[in-house]
This record gives sequence, structure tokens and C-alpha cells, in this order.
Amino acid sequence: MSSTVYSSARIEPARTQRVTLVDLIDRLLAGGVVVHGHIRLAVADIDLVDLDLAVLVAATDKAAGR
Amino acid sequence: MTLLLYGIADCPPGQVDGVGLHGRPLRGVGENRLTAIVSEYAQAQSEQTENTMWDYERILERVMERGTVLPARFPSMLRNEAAALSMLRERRCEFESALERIRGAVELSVRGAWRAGEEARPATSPMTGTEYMLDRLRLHQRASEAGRRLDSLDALARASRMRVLPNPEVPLAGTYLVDRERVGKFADLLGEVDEALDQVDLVCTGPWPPFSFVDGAPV
Repeated sequence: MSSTVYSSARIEPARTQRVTLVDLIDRLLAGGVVVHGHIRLAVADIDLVDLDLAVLVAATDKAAGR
Repeated sequence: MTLLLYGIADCPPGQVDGVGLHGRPLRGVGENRLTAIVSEYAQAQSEQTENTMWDYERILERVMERGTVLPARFPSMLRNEAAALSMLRERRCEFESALERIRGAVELSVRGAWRAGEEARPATSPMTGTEYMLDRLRLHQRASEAGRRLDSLDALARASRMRVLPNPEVPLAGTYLVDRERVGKFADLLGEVDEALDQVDLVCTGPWPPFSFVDGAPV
């Protein structure tokens, strides 16, 4: 299972855990092979606003071709 | 029944086994050493939760222990086996090239968070629009400068990308495609870089299936 490879000693464990979850969502929902015409995206049932933002940023960034 | 796609592998379909989401058996659909890894997936099971996503990621990791796999975006559905075969035929060159690019590598994520006291603070007095934009610009420039201090990590990666995000707490998001056996070395170097930074603290997560490197440029 993917987890923390390195974390600055100055960062609290709770923040590191949140980063790991953001990274999971970012990769699964905005990365990977896209099956054209057969994909269905769903938003995870996670009520943290910045998680949604992370996905939105990645998706917008990709759409802009940057 | 609808199929859930986990990824594309360059192995014979018969080599795929194991258990997918909701206990459904994994199976391979493909030909000529290009295989879609799938399991049956009922619409009633389509609720996406944090646990489901972790399960999906763990399943991919297990599959990757046996060979190179291009991970699929979650959740990617295929109508049936014929649709899977059709996709493999139409995109064979793309998939073969991507599999070669990621072979033996994993993805690492590096995020930079403002150290306490360095992050964007709410204005103590009302700001004009111009003042607000200049404040954002200065923050972006500081984050970009911090991001450049991570350039030495590129030497240990096959490919990488650093983004500066409009996030007041965690402005740096880097992704690196790293040879599996170099992950430890990468973490060591990251520690050295982190110690030398004075405004930003670093977190590295992974190893992830290479979700961000399936089509050449990272997403």
C-alpha cells in the first residue's frame, strides 16, 4: 500500500495523512488511462473541500494543456 | 455485465488472476500480449468511497508485482469484452509505447507546504482588488522560488513535473517517475533538500502506480 516515503519532521502526522489522501484522489480521478466514451467519473464521498480542489486543479491544468 | 478496467498489461490474458473490487475475480481480456485487466462490476456497487479507492490502489499494486501495468483512471467502465478488445486494437501503439516508458518505475508525489508563519494569511485590513492580486502574485513567486530548490531531484527521475498551485497551505505539487530501486535514494536526497529549505516543508508519498505518466507528459 502506498504511504509516506518521507515527511519533514516539522509537519504534523495528521497533515501528512491528509496529503497522502489528496495524492490518492488526485491520481485515481485525474490520472491514468482514459477509456474514451466509456468513462464515468464520480466524486468520492469525502467532505474535505481541499480534496475536491486538488482534483479540480489537476483536471483544469490538464485541460489547459500545461 | 459492465466491466471495471484496472489497467493495461503486456502479458497474455491467461496470466491475470487475483481478486478485484467487491471480491470479484480479476481476469484478462486481450490478444497478442496486450491485456486489459478487468473484473465484473454491477451498477449497484458503484458508490465511490475513500475505502474503495484505497482498495483499487492496493489491487493495482498487487497486479504490478507481477509485471508492468498502465493504471486506468478510476472508475473506468467497459461495456463488455468486445469493447475491451476494440480499445486494445485501436490504441495498441499508444499502450505499448507507454508500457515501455514506465517499465520498472513507480510514481512518487512530493508536496511542499508553507512552514508555520509563511503561509498566506488573511488580510488584517480590507484590500483593494489590485492589492489582493499583488499579494497572490508575491505568494506565487515565493512558491516558484521554493520549487526551483527541488530541481536536484530531477537527476534521480526518468520524468518529472513541478506545479505551483493556488493553494494557501500547500503550494507545491511535484510528481516524479522513478526507477523502483532508486526510491530509497530519492527519499534520502529529498531529506537533504528539505533540511536546506527555510520556508517550505516537504512530504513525499508513494510509491504509486504511474498514474501521471500514462500518456507521456504527466497530468
